[in-house]
Amino acid sequence: MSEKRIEDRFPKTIVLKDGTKVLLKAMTHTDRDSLHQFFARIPEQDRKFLKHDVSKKEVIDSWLKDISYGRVFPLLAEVDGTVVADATLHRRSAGWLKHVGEVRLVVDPAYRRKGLGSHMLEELILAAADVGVEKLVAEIVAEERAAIRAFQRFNFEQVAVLPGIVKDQTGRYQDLVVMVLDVPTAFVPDWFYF
Amino acid sequence: MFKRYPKRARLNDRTQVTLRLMVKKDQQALYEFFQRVSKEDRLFLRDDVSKPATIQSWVEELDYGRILPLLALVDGRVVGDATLHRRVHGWTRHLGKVRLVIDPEYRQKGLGSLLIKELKEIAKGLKLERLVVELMGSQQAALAAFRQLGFERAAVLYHHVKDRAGRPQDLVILIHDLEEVPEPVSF
Repeated sequence: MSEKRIEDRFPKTIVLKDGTKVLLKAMTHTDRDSLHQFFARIPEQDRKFLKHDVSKKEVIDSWLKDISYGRVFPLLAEVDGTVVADATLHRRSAGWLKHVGEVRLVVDPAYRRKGLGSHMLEELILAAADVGVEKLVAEIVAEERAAIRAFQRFNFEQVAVLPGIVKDQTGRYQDLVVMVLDVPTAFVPDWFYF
Repeated sequence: MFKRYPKRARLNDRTQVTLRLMVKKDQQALYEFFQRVSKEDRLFLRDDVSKPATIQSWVEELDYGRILPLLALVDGRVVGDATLHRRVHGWTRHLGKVRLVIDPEYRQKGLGSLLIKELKEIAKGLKLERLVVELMGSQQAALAAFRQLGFERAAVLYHHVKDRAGRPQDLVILIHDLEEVPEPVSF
């Protein structure tokens, strides 16, 4: 019996609401330059709410140094060879959070409100279910209302707010919202509930 | 800043302990220490310390800039292990995460509070602003002890983690602001 791997669903092409064709693929070492360019296009206003300082090239390079999909699975969305979104699923190989995955998502401003973030989130949830992840966690700065709503649409529930716990890239303290999704083990059709 | 170690201290029952940072050659002593921690207690630890490979990986990946492991020793035996985990980059760069394990025979002697006090001093020296502890909801004694040491409950995540027996447990997040002066209380 061969175990499912998280990268097995990809590459895959999807079509956005406006007809744009997008390639979803697992990140590899060859994506360094396009990743740098992608994060350079994220406005400072958004960048300051990210967990890591992506304005530093060495931060991005450290992600590429030891790629291990079992630990961090980075899913990239590409349009004509340009990265337009980056979604990652972080897991632990052992310990009390072994069944839990953490999701992070960044979308190019020019590709928001087109359903791309939702597509990627859905793919990550399905991929997580494939490999037996039972819970997904998203940690979002409270001011990022749009991101919180996006996760809520996928049934992520706000389970905690940690007041002033994180320090954004500008040095300001921000509340952190912790959202959790119990990963559906099988997608049950709607009629099941009648 | 690590010049303060090794350092000698006395527990409430006058036992003399040596505090110092963990080094590579502590692997065997650490393994033996975790063997003395009861199976019930091991259920609550986040890593499977019954496997020599777990301890080996800690020793091999020793990097004080990321994880600072402070050991308490009595006659060369490890009786307590307190670690301070931090990140160089990112939005948690001002936080230190604390983990603590005490030999069952050395509990109720003030060793835990001694180690946490040391970690607080180290954390201040590293310019950290807050300490964070994550425990399972059923670890009542440990929760009470950390609260006495000035840690406050910030959140409870229902059935978020699993113990070694695979049972879901609540995750309790406790936070201590380092600017405050804590009341010394032993446990």
